[in-house]
Amino acid sequence: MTPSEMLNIESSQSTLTTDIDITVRDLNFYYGNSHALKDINLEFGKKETTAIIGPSGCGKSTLLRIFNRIYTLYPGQEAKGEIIINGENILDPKVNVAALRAKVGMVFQAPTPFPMSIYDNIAYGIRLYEKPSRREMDERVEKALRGAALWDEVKDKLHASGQSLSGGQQQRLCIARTIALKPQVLLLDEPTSALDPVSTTKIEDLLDDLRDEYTIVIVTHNMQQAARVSQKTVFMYMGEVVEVAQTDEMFLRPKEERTKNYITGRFG
Amino acid sequence: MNAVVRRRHFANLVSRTLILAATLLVLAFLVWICGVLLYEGFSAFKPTLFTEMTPPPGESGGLANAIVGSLMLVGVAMFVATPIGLLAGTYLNEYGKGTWLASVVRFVNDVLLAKPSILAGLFVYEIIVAPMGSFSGWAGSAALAIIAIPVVVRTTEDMMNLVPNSMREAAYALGASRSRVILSVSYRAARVGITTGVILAVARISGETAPLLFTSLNNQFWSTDMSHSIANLPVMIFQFAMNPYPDWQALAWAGALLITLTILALSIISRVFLRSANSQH
Repeated sequence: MTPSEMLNIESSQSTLTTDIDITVRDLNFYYGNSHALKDINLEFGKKETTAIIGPSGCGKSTLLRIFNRIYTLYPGQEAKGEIIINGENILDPKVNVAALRAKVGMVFQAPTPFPMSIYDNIAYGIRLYEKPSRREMDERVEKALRGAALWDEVKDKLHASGQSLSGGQQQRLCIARTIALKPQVLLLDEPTSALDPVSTTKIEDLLDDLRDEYTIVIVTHNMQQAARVSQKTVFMYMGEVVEVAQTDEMFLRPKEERTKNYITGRFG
Repeated sequence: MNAVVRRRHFANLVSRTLILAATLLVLAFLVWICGVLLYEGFSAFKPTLFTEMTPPPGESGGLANAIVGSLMLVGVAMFVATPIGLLAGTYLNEYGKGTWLASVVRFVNDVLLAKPSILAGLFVYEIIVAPMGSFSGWAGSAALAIIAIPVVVRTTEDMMNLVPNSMREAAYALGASRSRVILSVSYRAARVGITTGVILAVARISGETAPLLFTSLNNQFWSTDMSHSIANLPVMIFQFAMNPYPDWQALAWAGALLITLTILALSIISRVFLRSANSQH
């Protein structure tokens, strides 16, 4: 079996856009004394889905967690270098973190609905920035839930607890909550690793729909998933970027030996 | 069967017998205490307990002043202890995690949690009763609050620690500030557990006698004046049970039953609370 058969790659991957949304320059990251990311240089295209793959501990989640500066919650973690989004270096301490996080949304590995109703889960984020009228809020909530392909399943129980939903629905609720803020970038940290195959398919279909509107960066352990949802793939190993290529290119003709070994399952 | 197996069977039999005997011994005393309490308490239980004052020897009466006094002492104590305990517990879990100060506070809190309650009474006697020159309800509440605070601190910290960190991160990732995350996510997720902790603290202090002996003392008469000594159930039980008069002893039994039932009810309420919260997830 060739890698392309194994990964079921469609040959009709869309052409890459040339606009760049995120530029990473000479990025280094430290957990205390441990040097977790080494001289990362990357570009992420506008309204393009980029998958970051690599074995556990290679730094892919670490990289993702720098884009919205969520790592700053923990003392002892430090990023050096530049990440340019809309012409601004977001690592600059003067950057308004709340505004950055409204623009760069994040969805986590385990679904994290807040202990409140489905409606309030969506409204929570909106209320951090705006005070829309009741009617406008209803519209925003509906739009977000539709955008996350959840509306039809929850429209009759908007005031039920968000935690009463199934795992896959909870994860789509978290995506809805994030896109309700109309972000520019969506970061997804292994969003389906806690879900069953059916829910996973739904999320992947959703990601396909979202691609036209958002710049998406997804970290995944699942190479088939990377192949299915992304146009560009970054392979990381031991804190370094080994190879960046169009997804079909990388899975069909990896240039680096390490990439080849990883995607054919020889390690990782 | 070889020797090793036989020896293991024998050891198993011996240890099972010992464990069973120990359990039965403990249960026997518990049943004995509860049995006597129920028997003596219910024979002295009558509606006038709630309407009449504690009587002089030989006359009939009730516990109305002691019940109201206890409610006031516990109420004021919890009014003070709840916010302090809540804030300290919040600090330990949300702000101080991993810091030197938090470890010290946690250690001191654990010591306070285990200290004999009479120390709280003596401490308050020294700092409030002696300087003011009289026993008072305020002093009693202060002593009870000192006992309740560590309980609330501990449960608040434990319950907030159970809130998954990923939920906090998700709120931060939407751009929420730290205070907002604590108020609208952490507290909300931990509210049942924290409420349970407060209820358990009430249960813990409503039977405390030693700290009240040095602070609020007791009062034979109806009084709701917190600046003077005030009647309360535990000290009333202590005094009436030590006396030779059968009427007083009966009232002491009734009071003991009343406290026990209250604490039982509070424990059941807190368990129901926790269960309903767990079934939500």
